[in-house]
Amino acid sequence: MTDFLDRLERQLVAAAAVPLAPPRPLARRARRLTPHRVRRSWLGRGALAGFVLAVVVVAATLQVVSGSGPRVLAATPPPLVYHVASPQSGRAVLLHLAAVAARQPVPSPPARGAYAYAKSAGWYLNIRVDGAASSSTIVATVTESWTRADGWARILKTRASTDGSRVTEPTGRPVVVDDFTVPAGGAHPDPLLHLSADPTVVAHQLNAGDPPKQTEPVENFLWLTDLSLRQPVPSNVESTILRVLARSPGLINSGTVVDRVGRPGVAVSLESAFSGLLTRYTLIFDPSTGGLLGEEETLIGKPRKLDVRTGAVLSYTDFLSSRYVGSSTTRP
Amino acid sequence: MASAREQSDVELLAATRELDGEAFGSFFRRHRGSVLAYLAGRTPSREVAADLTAETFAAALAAVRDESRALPGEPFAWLLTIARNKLIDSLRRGQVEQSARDQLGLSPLAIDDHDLERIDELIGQTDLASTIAAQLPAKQLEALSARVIDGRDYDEIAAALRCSQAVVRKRVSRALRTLRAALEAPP
Repeated sequence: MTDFLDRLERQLVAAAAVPLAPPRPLARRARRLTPHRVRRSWLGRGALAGFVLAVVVVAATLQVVSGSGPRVLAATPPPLVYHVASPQSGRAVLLHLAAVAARQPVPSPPARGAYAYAKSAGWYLNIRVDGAASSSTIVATVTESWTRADGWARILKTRASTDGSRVTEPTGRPVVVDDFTVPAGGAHPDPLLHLSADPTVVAHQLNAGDPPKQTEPVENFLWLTDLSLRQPVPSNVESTILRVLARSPGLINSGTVVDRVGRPGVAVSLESAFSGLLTRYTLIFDPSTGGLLGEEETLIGKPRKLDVRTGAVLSYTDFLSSRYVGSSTTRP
Repeated sequence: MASAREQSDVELLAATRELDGEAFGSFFRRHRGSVLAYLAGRTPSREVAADLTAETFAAALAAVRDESRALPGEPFAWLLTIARNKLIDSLRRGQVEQSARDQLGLSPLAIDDHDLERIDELIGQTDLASTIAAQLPAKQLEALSARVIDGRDYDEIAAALRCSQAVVRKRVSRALRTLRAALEAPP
């Protein structure tokens, strides 16, 4: 009888003995469902409850005839509508936002022992690959996290609908998908709670890691979203990050937009195939503060084996609030 | 030719670069327990630790196979750094990524109760601290032991080791950096 470690070793030995294959055509940021106990999400240990939601949503999928048989497409929400009225470059928009952010009052440093609270609503395709075929479900959640400077964190995920509103039980209570803690030292991304407003330091943080993590300009986009998922980003730091992001080649001014919770925003995009699929990554900012409001990822290349159409939204996140609070149960 | 048991980590990774799959298998067997033990103490479940272990070794293999990159001089410390980065990424995203396994074309592996028992057993057999100490270069370990275990002052150590205080501090610092990657913040 072979076990997980033996099978993993066989996989690695076999992979090591042949030249590297080109990347598989999968969206890097798209999460996927995997067989029982294979790749259980940290935020998805209530996977059964989440899966029930996914089944409900998939029941509304659109069937089309493609090739030799029916092909079921995931019912992804409509993309946001962007209006481009300004000839400004994407770089110019980011630099303007950086200037706006720089004019905002700089918040006081968090008190000792404070918790960084962040709340976001997100939706993403959960993609399962089985040989040549793939199937996707839609997972929508509201995520709240409380993170201490020592790396301890509590992460609470509750079920949401695809418009970002919470799904509740008949009693009116949110449906908890997961609620767990990470031990001290665990949730310790390098700059967590210790963000720098020095562009040199920020640029270094963006390229930190071994192997280096940021190899594509779009990775810097995602770095900002990852930060915003876990903690408040002070306006002076946000300004610095935007100036660093403005150096990225290929920035697109995507114009103005109203996000999925009704907030007006300005959008800047990058297109990249680093995931294997040509995808447009769009960041949406508050024009009055320069703060990050949301992120949307849209497939603009061929979907290949994914069960979505070109133009489908692969994921989005609305950043709803972030503050420092006094305990892991306190909300701002 | 030296057997895999006799080959150093650097030699195993050099052979891996030459498409010797068994060499990477030896590297995997040598360090899987330590990587699992490191990750298991920092993740909510053995399943996540196992998943991260698979991604860590896949990332290591992908890096070794990338000929534009130099091979690591201290492979074990390098491997733990990858594990730590994978851990951090998973915490940021709330999900264990599979990008390295995708790059290598590795499919997800199921884990059952038998696997978890085996993983627990392997972790139980792994003395991570001793393993890491064994990986430290002799001079670093010597300086670290004198400073941390014996509590001797830097000038005293420098005199005993016939080198400058700055060199002692550097050796201790490097040793601590290696240890910190694996031992910091126990749960």
